[in-house]
Amino acid sequence: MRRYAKVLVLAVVLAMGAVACGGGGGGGGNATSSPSGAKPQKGGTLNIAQLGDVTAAFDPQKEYYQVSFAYYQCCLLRTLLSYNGQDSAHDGTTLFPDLATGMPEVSSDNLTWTFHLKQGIHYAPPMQDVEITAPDIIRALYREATPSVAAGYGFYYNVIQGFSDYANGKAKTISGLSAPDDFTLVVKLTEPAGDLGYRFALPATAPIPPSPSDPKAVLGVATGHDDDYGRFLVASGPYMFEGSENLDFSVAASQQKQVAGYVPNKSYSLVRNPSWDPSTDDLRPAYVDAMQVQIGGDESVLDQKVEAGEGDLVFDTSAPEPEFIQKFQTTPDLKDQIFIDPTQGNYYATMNLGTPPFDDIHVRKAVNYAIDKDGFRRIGGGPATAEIAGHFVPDSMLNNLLKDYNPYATPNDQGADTPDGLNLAKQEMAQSKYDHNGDGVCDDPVCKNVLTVANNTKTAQAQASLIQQNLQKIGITLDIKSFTQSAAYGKVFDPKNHIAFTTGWAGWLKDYPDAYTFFFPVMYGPNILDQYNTNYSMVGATPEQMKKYGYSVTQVPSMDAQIEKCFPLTGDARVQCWADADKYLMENVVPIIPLEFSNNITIVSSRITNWTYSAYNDSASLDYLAIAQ
Amino acid sequence: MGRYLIRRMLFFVLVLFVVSVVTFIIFVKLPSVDPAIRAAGRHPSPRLLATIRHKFGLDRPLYVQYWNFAKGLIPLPGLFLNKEVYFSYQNHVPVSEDIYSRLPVTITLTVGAAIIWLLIGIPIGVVSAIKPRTAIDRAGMIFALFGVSAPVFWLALLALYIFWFKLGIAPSSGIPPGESIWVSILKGRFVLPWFTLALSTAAFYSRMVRGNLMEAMSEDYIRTARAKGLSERRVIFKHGLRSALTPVVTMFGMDVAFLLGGAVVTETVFQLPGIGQYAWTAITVNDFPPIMGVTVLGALFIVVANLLVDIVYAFLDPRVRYA
Repeated sequence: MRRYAKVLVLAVVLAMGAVACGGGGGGGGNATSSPSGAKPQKGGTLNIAQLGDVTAAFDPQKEYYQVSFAYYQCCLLRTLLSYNGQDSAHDGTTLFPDLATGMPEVSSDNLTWTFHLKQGIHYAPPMQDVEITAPDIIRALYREATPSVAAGYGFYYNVIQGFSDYANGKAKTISGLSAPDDFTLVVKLTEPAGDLGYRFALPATAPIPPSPSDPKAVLGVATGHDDDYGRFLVASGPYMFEGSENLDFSVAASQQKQVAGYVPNKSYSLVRNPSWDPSTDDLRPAYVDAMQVQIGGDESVLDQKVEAGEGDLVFDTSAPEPEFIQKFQTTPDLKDQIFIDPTQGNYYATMNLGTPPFDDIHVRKAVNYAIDKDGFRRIGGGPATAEIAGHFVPDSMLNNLLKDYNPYATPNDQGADTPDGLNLAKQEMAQSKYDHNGDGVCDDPVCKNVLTVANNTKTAQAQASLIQQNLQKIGITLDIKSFTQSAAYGKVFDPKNHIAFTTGWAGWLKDYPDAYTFFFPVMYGPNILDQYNTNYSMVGATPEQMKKYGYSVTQVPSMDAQIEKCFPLTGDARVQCWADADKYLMENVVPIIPLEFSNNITIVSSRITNWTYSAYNDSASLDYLAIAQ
Repeated sequence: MGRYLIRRMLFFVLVLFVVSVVTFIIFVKLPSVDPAIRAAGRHPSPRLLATIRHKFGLDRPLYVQYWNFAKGLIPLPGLFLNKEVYFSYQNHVPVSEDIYSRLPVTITLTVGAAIIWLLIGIPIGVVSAIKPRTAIDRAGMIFALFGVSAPVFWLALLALYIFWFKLGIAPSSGIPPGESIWVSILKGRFVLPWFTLALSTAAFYSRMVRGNLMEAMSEDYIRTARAKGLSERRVIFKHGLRSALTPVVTMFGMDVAFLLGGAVVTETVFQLPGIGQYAWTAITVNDFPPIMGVTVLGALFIVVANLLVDIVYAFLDPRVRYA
């Protein structure tokens, strides 16, 4: 979740005081855009700024954050499968073999997956003589399951036979992982998981070399580094941290010296990995020779440095400051240096199915009609910042199957701020048990002072006020409690708080390009947790759970059957299944009001050529960027 | 003097105790999100949560948790900011490593700014005091009003915009990876931060020196000095200013100590990896151990500075003696 939380914080920053940006700019488009129009050339150093560091000091089993995922994918780590670093129109969300020779072989019962590894791929120094083999992938998964490591997303691998038993101390090995030979990995599952390939493209599965001093050590060179392996990371991608060659794994872990090129909270220095052989890697062009990353600073100053050419881009924000968006979009000399690309993330308002009046589907539908989504987006920065959403999962993750689907469409997406929109909302509300006189305005006391959590930024407050005014027109008054982003999440994470409504500051960003990563954490009943619950609407909660959390409403609609139907599927059938689930969600459950599919806006210095956006990373593809020579 | 020092040391321990307890309560007892849950990622198993709680020491009774942190504040090797407790819940980097590596930046920033604010503030205050209600005095006081009123973040952004972005005569923000602090100083990377940080304090000092010096100059002993035939310069600098500077010394000690605890805004805007930037990062993610480390370090600087100021007082003002 922290991956999401941090990204969403940044997205709120994006929205703060934003100006209306009427499209234009450099626009999206991949591997074609460059201010100078020059052909990308190798060489040079990319100067990157970041507002903050990654979240777990580059530990690949712990990091659960978009920015670290991006560095791993583009630069530091190779996985069995990976992505081509481009946008979704250029297959950027398609899996390709990386360390693997091809796509995995899947047994007819979908329970056994076999990966074959390429031979002759070596680690970065000081392990340049060590060839990457299947046991190294197994080692990484053991580390993900090791309790003392406290890894970030082991739940994705619970489907592997014996993984959770090992994690819970009930088994000494993970029975579902085996390597019949050095270049074959066999993975046995307890149940079909059509998206397992995506999970083997996550950095947690990147190979960890064996320890030179103790080849039998389960965690290899990561032994003794439960808390700090990121500072001893052995790279396999085109880049490595500067000074990696000085890592000494022959001595005890406590005597080893961290890599010099990564100073937490301060800087990264990435240089070429001399072991990386481009002939084995079709996915990463790796144009620049080095990357220098400085952490910290004021966002507007960092944007100014990009404009002045002293920095090439700010990497961990989803948009520059609003005045820079406007400046880059309207200044002829800068127009080619701004890029707007769709992310695979969304923003939505939530309704808690366990709290009246939202236990009534007509109320939930009426709210969907009532909210002025266009106004919401205008406050947040205008069309450049997002597409207006008509459903839950971003279109590019559903192969655009629901591109024009919007069951609660209103004129210009302005909801109750138009007479027709208000009429639609009232018609729906009139069918509700809480509208006793059928005039389309809720007149039941449960519609008064509905407990609502909002973010306390200026923009989020303005958006909350807009929603408040919209809902007032159908008789719902909101009792808005405002908090910082982190505290607001703290409130809604706890199902015992009975938060009835949130005002669109919450959102979701994929872990990998499969709608599983939207439905499973947010809409799946068995995933409701006592703490850190991300299913804010309580979709699919059992009567026992509802009683346990103190709700008077104990029967709530579920998406479980629709979601579980998709688990084993692959390919187009899987995407269609998720699209169907999304439609079912929007028509039969209606726990949310989809508001936006957000965009990423990046400004780059004039010396950057070959702008490329990675749909998987939801950010610039650092390995594609080149420096004008 | 010895008894006085003992008294001050006891007071110092009391202050650290109070600061540490308050910080502990705010960030450990009342956090918005359980740090173990934050660290566990999504969908944690109870076993994983228990492991992390144990690792962070959050499964211990509250007083044990406090004591573990309190031990880390004792300035003895092996105890002070010990790595067993004082590590970031975010990235597990020891607090001492971060603080020690950042302290040179903060010290450089503070010392440079302090020299500048003394060099600007005191002369303006003196000139204003000896030439009251003249154009020089009015200009000095307009400067003071501007300096005191202007927020540091605004000054910082303005300075960068004008001197770096528009005129190109100053370096931009940040210290490139691998560049030493000495090279940064030589390249002028601290000039804008120094002046930005110094301006508001200099303005305040000039007002204070002006007021104190004008008051001192009306004292009987000044009249006596003049009657003895001393030159006006000697009267002002030997007799008037010495007395007028006593409260300035107090402020100076406090200000320097405060900034050594981290000039949050200046370091953030100018992208300087100092203690202030570290503290700010930790606060935004509710990372308790760094917050505790920096807070208590700041308190320590202030208490020590107070002690030094009191000692200096005795030398500056013959009337002050510590029995």
